[in-house]
Amino acid sequence: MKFPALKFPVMSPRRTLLIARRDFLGYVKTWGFWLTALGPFFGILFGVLMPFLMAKSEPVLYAAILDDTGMHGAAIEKQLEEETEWRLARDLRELAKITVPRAQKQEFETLLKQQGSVPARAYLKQKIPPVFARFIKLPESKLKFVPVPAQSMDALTPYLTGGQQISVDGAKQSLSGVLHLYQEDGVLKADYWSTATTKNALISLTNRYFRSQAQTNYLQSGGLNSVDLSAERSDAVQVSSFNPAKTAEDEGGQKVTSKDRIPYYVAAAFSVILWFTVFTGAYMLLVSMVEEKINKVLEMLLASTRFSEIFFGKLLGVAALTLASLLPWIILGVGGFFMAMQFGDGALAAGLANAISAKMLMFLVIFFVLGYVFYGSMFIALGALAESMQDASTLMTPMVLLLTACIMVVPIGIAYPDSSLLAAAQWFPFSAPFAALIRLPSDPPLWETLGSVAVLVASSVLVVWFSARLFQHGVLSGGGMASVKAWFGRKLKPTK
Amino acid sequence: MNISSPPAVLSLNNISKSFAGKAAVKDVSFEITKGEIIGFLGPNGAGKTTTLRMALGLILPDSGSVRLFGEASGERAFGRIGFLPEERGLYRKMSARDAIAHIARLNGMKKAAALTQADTMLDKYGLGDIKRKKIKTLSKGMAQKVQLIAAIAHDPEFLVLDEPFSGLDPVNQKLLEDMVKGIAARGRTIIFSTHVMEHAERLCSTIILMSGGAKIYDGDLEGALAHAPRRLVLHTGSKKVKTALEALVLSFSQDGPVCEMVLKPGVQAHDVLDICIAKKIKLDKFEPERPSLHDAFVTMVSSGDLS
Repeated sequence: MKFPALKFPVMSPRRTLLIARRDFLGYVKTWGFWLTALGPFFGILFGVLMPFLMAKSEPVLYAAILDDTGMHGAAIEKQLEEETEWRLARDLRELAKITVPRAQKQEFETLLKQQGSVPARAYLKQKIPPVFARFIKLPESKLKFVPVPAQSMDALTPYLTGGQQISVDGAKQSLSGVLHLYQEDGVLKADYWSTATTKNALISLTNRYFRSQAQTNYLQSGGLNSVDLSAERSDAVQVSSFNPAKTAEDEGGQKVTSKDRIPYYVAAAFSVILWFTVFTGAYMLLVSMVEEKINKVLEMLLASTRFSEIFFGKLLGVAALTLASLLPWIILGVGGFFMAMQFGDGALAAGLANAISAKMLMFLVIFFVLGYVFYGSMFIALGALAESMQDASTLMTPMVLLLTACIMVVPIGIAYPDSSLLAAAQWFPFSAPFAALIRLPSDPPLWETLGSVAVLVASSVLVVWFSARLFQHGVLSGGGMASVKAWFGRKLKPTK
Repeated sequence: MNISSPPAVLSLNNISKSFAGKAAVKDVSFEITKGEIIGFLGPNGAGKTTTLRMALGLILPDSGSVRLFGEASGERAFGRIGFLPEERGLYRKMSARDAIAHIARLNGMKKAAALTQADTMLDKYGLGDIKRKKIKTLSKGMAQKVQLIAAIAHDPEFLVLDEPFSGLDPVNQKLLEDMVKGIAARGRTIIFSTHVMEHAERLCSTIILMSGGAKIYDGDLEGALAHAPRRLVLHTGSKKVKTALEALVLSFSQDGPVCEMVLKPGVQAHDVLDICIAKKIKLDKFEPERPSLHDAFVTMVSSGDLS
């Protein structure tokens, strides 16, 4: 059996850069590239802003209670007030996370607890930059009770169907719904009347009220009450988590806090981003290769450049492309990091500072480069073998399955960071970039991570060498898979 | 070809190539010297494209060797070669100007010079108004001209054109012939493949004929034409002309006074004239037809005449 010697190909840096430049500009100038790159970014931005936008655009619903029993109307209104106050406090706290500097968080919390949501809301309004305040409406209740304008459902019907309007603070408003509470054959009934059949806020509120009433009545029948039950629940023992690897001198002692968990989530996020980058980069390489074959550009190029210059030029060009497509995410990540450091609570900031260490960043760059070269080279070779996009899809399927299997190390890394499967995956070149990254927070011995790097370097060299030959035979011989089979046949032929 | 004088631009020595066990090129050797225009002729599937690809180092031969400018073709002389492949293609989303400049830059030109050259050549060949149009919007003929300009923009010493005339209308074929003549006039070496013999007859000093993967002729145009059967038309009232010329002709047909004949190999028109004078056959017209490269090719292929 004979194999050609491994030797570094001769290349002109100028021509390699020209090929890279063409591949970069060829994609980056297209709308499709930016739509693909920014689509998820805008999707997430839209998802984050959507609740605020919806809250801003959602009208206030005015409802009334016609309580023939005279027993529950006021209590339901009170429940709405309490729930609204609780919900407002929750929303204001969320908003405060990104608007109130850490040093003033306690001041805000005290204000909210002692004086309620109205002054807390005024406080927050001062903290939001005016440009955002125009778009973001501070939380407020979207359901408001008004005095019932008539004393029978027949008389109320014109208000519900738009024939008549109610007056709220001097302005004419439509009555959205009426809750009618009455007795029938000694049984309490609750009917909700409204033309807005999808607006269920008052129905849900009333159901919660009656469930709470039922619980209170039940407890009282046994001489108990809801207040005591809540107190008991809040005093219940809660399990504390400790890590024996930590020492009492560590911040927070040996107790496990979010500071200890965040590095795993950050490593998981990095692994997933690496996976997406490798996948999109490799896919772009494959498509670019197949397009040049289909467009018959390669032969013309090959008269002016070495195949190695095209091979490495493409790797370089698409690497620049993937970086460009990552740019919004890098900006978002860096912005988010500094926001969290500025506004996040202490554990979050400490956890992030712990997660994004110099060691993590260094290995992140190394595994990004090696993972990209390893997979990218293979996809170029596949592109060179394909004669059409259908061929490319067929050739790509096993690689996609393999990549999908490799990303499974991420959930394992979060749930079982000391898993032996994860440790083994670190030595398997296909999964090594993802597994090694996600193992970093559990602080494996340095030699294991370096070993993983060594495996990837060796595998990448082999894959580049092998892919370059596949590329050479796929493109230059023009025979696609048949040519490669023939090449294998020659190389594997026993020598006499 | 003269091996002793100028150094060979391209030298093929006994190269062979097979695909999936089927021989595409069989033991082909030839040399091209500086300043020649070579017509590389043969029918489809004769092995022309494969030979040219091996000559440029795009495919490695199974056996034999290739030298370009005196170097092994693996160390290709980038920037000194212009290549128009048989299967045309440029980046579809690039403008004509950028596509030409890109190839020129890959061949060693600086960016500004490459763009200026692209503009100049597009203007020169009547494509000035499509400079900024994308390749995908051009007609097939225009795209082909742009690709040819891309192949020659860096002023290569050796131009390899694989079927440059295919797909072009007669006007553009004439334009391309003029382009080739212009390039050759500057002392550049050109080899172009074609299966249309007329182009070669008009342009080439040297002919290489391929058939079935093998070279069947390599020499000057006149030498190739010498292989063509000689055709002759006589006008005579004599009834004994057919019998008199029987030993000299391969075929003879007579329609009234008009006699058309194909002479046997080696027989010249004056041999026929000598017989007619000797036999006292009165001739009203004696018209030898100029041999065509096509006839020469057919004769060589059918007789297996390898030069």
